[in-house]
Amino acid sequence: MSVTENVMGGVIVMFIFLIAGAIVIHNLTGHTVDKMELTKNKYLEEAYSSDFNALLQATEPTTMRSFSDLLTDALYYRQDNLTFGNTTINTREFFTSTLDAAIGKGRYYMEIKPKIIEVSLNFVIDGSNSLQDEREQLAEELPSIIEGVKKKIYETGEEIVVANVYILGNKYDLKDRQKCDIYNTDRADITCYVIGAEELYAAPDDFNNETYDVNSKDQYKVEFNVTPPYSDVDYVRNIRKAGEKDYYEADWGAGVAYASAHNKGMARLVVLFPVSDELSTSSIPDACFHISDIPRQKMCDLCNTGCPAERSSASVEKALQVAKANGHIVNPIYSFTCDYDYKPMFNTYFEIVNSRSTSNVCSEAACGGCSVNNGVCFHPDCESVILEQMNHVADETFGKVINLEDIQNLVYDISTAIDDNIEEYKFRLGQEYDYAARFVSERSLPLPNKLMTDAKLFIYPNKNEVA
Amino acid sequence: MKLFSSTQSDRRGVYAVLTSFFFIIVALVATIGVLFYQNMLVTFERSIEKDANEYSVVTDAKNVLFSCYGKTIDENKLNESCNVSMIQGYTIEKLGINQCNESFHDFLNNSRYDQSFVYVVPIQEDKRICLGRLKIFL
Repeated sequence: MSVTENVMGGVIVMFIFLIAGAIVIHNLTGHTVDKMELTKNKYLEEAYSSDFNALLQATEPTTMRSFSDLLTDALYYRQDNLTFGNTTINTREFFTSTLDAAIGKGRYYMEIKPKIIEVSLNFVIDGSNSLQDEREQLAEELPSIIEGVKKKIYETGEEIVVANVYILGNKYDLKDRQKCDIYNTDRADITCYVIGAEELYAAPDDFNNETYDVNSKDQYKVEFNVTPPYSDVDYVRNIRKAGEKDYYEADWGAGVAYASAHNKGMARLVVLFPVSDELSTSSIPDACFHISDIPRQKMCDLCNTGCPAERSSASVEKALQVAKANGHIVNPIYSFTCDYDYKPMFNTYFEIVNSRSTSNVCSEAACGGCSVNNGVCFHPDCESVILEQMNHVADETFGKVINLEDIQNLVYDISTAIDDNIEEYKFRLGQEYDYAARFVSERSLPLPNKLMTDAKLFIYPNKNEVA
Repeated sequence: MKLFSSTQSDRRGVYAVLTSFFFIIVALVATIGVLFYQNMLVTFERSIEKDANEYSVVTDAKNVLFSCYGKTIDENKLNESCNVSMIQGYTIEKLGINQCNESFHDFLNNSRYDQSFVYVVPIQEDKRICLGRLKIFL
């Protein structure tokens, strides 16, 4: 009995030894294999990093510009086709053929996006009463919009987000100046300005080379010929007296140009949001600005249904030129919510000037200002033209139009647009494989606007890479 | 008197011998097992060190080649070979892309080699920079 016990004891001891040995060996082997993998990966990482350096130096044959220069230009201007003098090159083709030949087809993915450490949000808001709700909603929600953008771009905690609000109006008019009071300008990151004709348009003296300061921030007005729509020999920038709706109160085109120029040359992402329910320079036809008699003027403002599309387009084109030159994004906010500030006294005007008018003239289809069927809207026939021009400026600057159907969605719509702007500010080449083994090399490259950008090259190794 | 009759105490002695013998066998097997495993591990480690050494050799060789031809390889210098004793040889191939002229420079001492390692390298051709492949043979 005791022999059996001893033999069994021995067997158990041996078994324990073997199991323990197997575990120790397994661990040691695993550790050694990991070490081997680590050594191999370290080598491949260095080798691919060296390959990336070589690729960035490769020269494009017609322009003699380097791969890295073209890469940052293509990202900055967000165009595949870049023109240098008389030569236009397809950068994507150049990058793809170079990478295919050097790394191998299907074995790489390249992504380049700006390193955003500072964002400037600029709201250019029509100063008319119909936009009062939007201005108030924005004032309330601006802090949370800023915090949302900060979270989106967070990397080191040193990111800066600032917001500037430009209200189009007459800064000499107390009522217009007070429109800034609702913004929490005690915060260092929120600033509000009332800008009017003086700020928006160049004066004739500005075009005099001898007296004009070419280094001024307002030099853009001369360069892009930003002048008021009615400037002539008797140069005027204000057509109507203070308190009366003037064209510059709705000139979001000139407002965007101003905001863009005042954010020029800064190494940051600048996003511009013109907010309006009218054509740029207003939906009021030209003829109405030359009527001095107030009742007739109001009648014309509200009931002349012609849309001044060309006047508006000229202003929008200026905005486009300045924003594009500065590499800024424009996301126009269209807020045509039929909440035009209808005043019963308008009917009095109609009765005075139009003998055919009755007290319910606003129900007539001919009246641009009011319509029972559509609610109280200002020149509803201009809606399609406004949207067309807003889409044009958004398309050209890589922004998007926000059609604000419900004012409660203002924060969501703005935040989504900014997210899209940041996300779309990328240039990608090759195919990204989510779960494949890969080696990533990263380089910081400068963009033309001094913003730094991260270029990442993902290389997917072959199974038996190295040999 | 009984010859060869075993008592209980005799039986205990036999068991003790058997048990001791058995334990010695167990100890021997365990020792041999451990030694075997250890030996296996040492061999494995050596093989890894050899691989690691290869990576380090090839990196050093690449640096020596860059010091000979420049970090951006000067095509005019490619007529002469660079003395890199730790490798079997190397080849430099200029790729015929982006309007660059294709070329191949062979500095392989013999055709017997175990492994080859490839790098993409910049090669200066006149005023522009072309891409090439540097292949190092061990």
